[in-house]
Amino acid sequence: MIGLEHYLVLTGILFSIGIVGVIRRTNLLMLFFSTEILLNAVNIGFAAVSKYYGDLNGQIFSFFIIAIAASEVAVGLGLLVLWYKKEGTIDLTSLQMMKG
Amino acid sequence: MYEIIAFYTFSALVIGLFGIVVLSKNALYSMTALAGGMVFISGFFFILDAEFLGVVQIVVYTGAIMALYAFGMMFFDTTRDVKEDIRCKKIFYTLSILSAVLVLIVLSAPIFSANIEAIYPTLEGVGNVQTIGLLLFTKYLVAFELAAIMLLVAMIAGIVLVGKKLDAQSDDLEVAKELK
Amino acid sequence: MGDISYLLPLLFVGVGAVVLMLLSYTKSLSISSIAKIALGFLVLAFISNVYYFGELHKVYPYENVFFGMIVSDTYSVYFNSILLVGAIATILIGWDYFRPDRRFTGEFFSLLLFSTFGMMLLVQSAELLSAFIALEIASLSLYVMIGFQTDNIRRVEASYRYLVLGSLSGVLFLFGTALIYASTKTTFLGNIGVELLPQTGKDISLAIGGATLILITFLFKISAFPFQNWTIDVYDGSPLPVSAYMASTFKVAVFAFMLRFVAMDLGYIKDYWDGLLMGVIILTLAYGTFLALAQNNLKRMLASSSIVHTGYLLIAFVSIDIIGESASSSIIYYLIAYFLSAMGAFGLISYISSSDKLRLTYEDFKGFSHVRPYMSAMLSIFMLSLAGLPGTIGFIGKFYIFSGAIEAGYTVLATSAILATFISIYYYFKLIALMYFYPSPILSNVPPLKGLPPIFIGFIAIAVLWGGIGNTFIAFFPSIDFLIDVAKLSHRSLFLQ
Repeated sequence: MIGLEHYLVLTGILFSIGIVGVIRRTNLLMLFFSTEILLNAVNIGFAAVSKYYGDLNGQIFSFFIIAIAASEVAVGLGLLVLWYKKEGTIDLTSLQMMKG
Repeated sequence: MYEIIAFYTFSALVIGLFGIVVLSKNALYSMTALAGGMVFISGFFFILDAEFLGVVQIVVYTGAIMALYAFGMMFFDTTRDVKEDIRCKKIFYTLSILSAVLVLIVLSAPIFSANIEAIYPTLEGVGNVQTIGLLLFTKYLVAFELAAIMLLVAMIAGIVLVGKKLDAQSDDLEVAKELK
Repeated sequence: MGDISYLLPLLFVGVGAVVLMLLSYTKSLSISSIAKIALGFLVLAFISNVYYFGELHKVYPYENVFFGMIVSDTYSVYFNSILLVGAIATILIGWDYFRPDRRFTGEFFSLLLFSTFGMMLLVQSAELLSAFIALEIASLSLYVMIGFQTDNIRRVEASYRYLVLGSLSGVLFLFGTALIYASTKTTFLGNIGVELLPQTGKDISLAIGGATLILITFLFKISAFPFQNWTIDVYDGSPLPVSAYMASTFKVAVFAFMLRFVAMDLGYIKDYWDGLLMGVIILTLAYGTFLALAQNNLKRMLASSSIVHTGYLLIAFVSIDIIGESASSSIIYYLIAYFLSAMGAFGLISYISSSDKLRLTYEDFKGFSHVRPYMSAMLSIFMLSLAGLPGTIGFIGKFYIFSGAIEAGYTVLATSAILATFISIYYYFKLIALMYFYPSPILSNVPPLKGLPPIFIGFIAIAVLWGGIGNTFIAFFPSIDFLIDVAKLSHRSLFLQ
C-alpha cells in the first residue's frame, strides 16, 4: 500500500533534483525552472499530508503556492527580459560586473 | 493495486522528466519536459483525491505559468544549446550529488521514524470542490485576499519593469511630433 | 471603536497603495504631490497605530471572519510603529532623490506602500502560510523598487540577484511549513507549540527539520553568515533611499515574525539549534567585520557592517529561552537603535551624493567638516551610535544585549561581540577622522542643508542622542525607559490568551 512516507520520499527526491538544478544551472531561465520543480515537490508533499490526515488545509496551501509561483514568475520574467535586452545573454556569469 | 501502479508510473515519469529539465542543454527541451512533468504531477493529485487541485495544476500551472515561460522564451535565443562552462567539474558534481543525497537523508530519516498513522478519510456527501470552496472562503479568506494583493503587486511589477520603455518611447514620439 | 480600530493601520496603508496605483495613471499629478499623498496615508496609519502603543492587549480582529489569521497585540503595534516610521523616513529622505528625471514615477510610491503593507502583515500574521504570502508581497515589491530605474543595469542586476536568491529561500520556508504541517497538523502559531510539547509524547523530528528550514530562510533574509554574500551587492546596487529602507525596515519585520514564532512555538525546538546558532553568530561577526574592513566605498561599508549588527541581534536571539523577557526586549530595543542609526547614516549619505554618478568613498570625505560642519556632526553622531559609543542609543542597545548574553552564560559570544565592536570602531572612526583632521575639502558640490530631508535627518540625529542620554537630562519626558518598558510589555502580550 502506498503510505504517506512514499509521498514524502518522492517529495524529497524531487526536491533534491531541484536543488541539483539550482546548483548546476548557470542559465537564469533554467534556474527558474529548478525553482518550479522545488515548488512542485512541496505541493505534492502538502497534498499527500492533507489526504492522510483527512484535513483539507494542505490542499489549500498548494493553491496558494501555485499563486505564489505565478507571481514570482511574472516578476522574474520581467526582470529577465529587461536583462536580456541590455546584456544579450541570460547567463549567470554575466551577473558579475559588480565588484567594488 | 491500481494506486500502487499509478504511483510508481507517475513517480518514474516525473522524476525522469524533471531530470531532463535539470540536465538538458537546450532550454526548449527543458521547458517542454517541465510542462510534461507538471501534467504528470497532477496525476498524483488525482490519486490523492484532490481533483480540484489536479485541475488547477493543469490549467494554471501548465496552462498559464508554462505559457508565460514559453512566451518569455520568445525573447531569448533558445535554439542554441546553452553553454554552461562549469569550472572544476569533479568538485562540482560531487558537491551537488552529495548535497542532494544529504537533503534526501535529512528529509526521509525523520519520516520513517515519525510513524505517521495513515488515516483514510472519506468526506462523504460533499465533493472535493465544494469543501475546498467552503474552506477557502471561510478559514482562509485572509490568505485568499492577500494572495489577490500579491498578484496585483506582481502585475504592477511586470508593467513597471517591462512596460516602462513603451512609455518613454511614446514620449519620444510626441517630442518628435512637436519638433516637426 | 470595535475591531476595525485594530486594523486601521493596515487598512490605511493598503488602501493608500491601491489609491496611489490608480493615481499614478494620471499624468497631471507631479511626483512630489504623489509623494505627499503617500506620506499622508502613512501618517494616518501611524496615528491610528500609535493609539494602542504601550497598551497591553491581544486581539484577533473579526475572529469569526478572519479565523484568527491576523493578530493585533502590543508586540505588533510596537513593530508596526517602527515600520511606519521607516516608510515615512524613506519618503522624506528621498524627497529630492525621487525625481522624474531619475525615472521615478508614481508607481514607486504605490510599491513602497505595498511593501510596507506586506511587512506590517508579516508582523501581524498568526499563521505560517499567510505570513509567507505577506513576506512575498513585501519582497516582490522590494525587488521592483530596487530595479525601478530600469535603464541602470546595476539596479536590474541587484534586483535580479535578490529575486533569484529570495525565491530560493522562500521555497525552503514553504518546505519547512509542509514538514511542520505534516508533524503537527496545524500551521497556526500557538497551536504548533502546543503540539510540540514533550508531554504529547510525539516524535517531533519532522517538525525540527521543518523549523530548521524556516530558520534558514530567516537567516537568509537577515543576511547571517552562510547567506550574507548577496547583501553587499544588493545594497550597493539599489538606490540609496531603497537601501536605507531595506536595511532598516525589512530586517525589523523579518526579525519580528521570527521572534514571535520562536517565542510562541519553538521554545522546545530551539535547544537543538544552540550549537548551530553559536557557530553562525561567531562566523557572522567575524566575516562581517572582515568585509567591513575591506570596503572603501561608504555604502558597501554600511552594508557589510549591517551583517555585523545582525550578529549582535542573533546573540540576544540565542539567549532568549534562558532570560526570556529581557532578551526579547533587548532585541526589540536594539532594532530601534539600529533602525535610527542606519536610517540616519544612509539618509545623509544619499543626500550628500545627490548626483547619482557619485559613489562615495572614504577619501571623498577628507576635510568634509570644513565645508559642511553640521552634516559632518550628524554623520559623526550616526557613526558613533553604530559603533556603540556611550551617549548614543547604540550604546544602550549593545549594553542590554551584551549584559543579557553574559547573564545567560554565553560568555564566548559576548566576548566575540565585544571584540567585533572594538574592531568596528576602526572603520566607523576612520570616516570621522577623515572628516575632521584633513584641511582641504574634496567634495565641493554638496547641496547645502535645505528642504525637508536635512530637517528630518537632524531630527533622527537628535533622537539618537536622546536615546543615549536624554533620560537623565529631561525629566517628565518619555525616555528610553519607556521604550524598554513597552518592549517588555510587547513580549508579555505574545503570551496573552
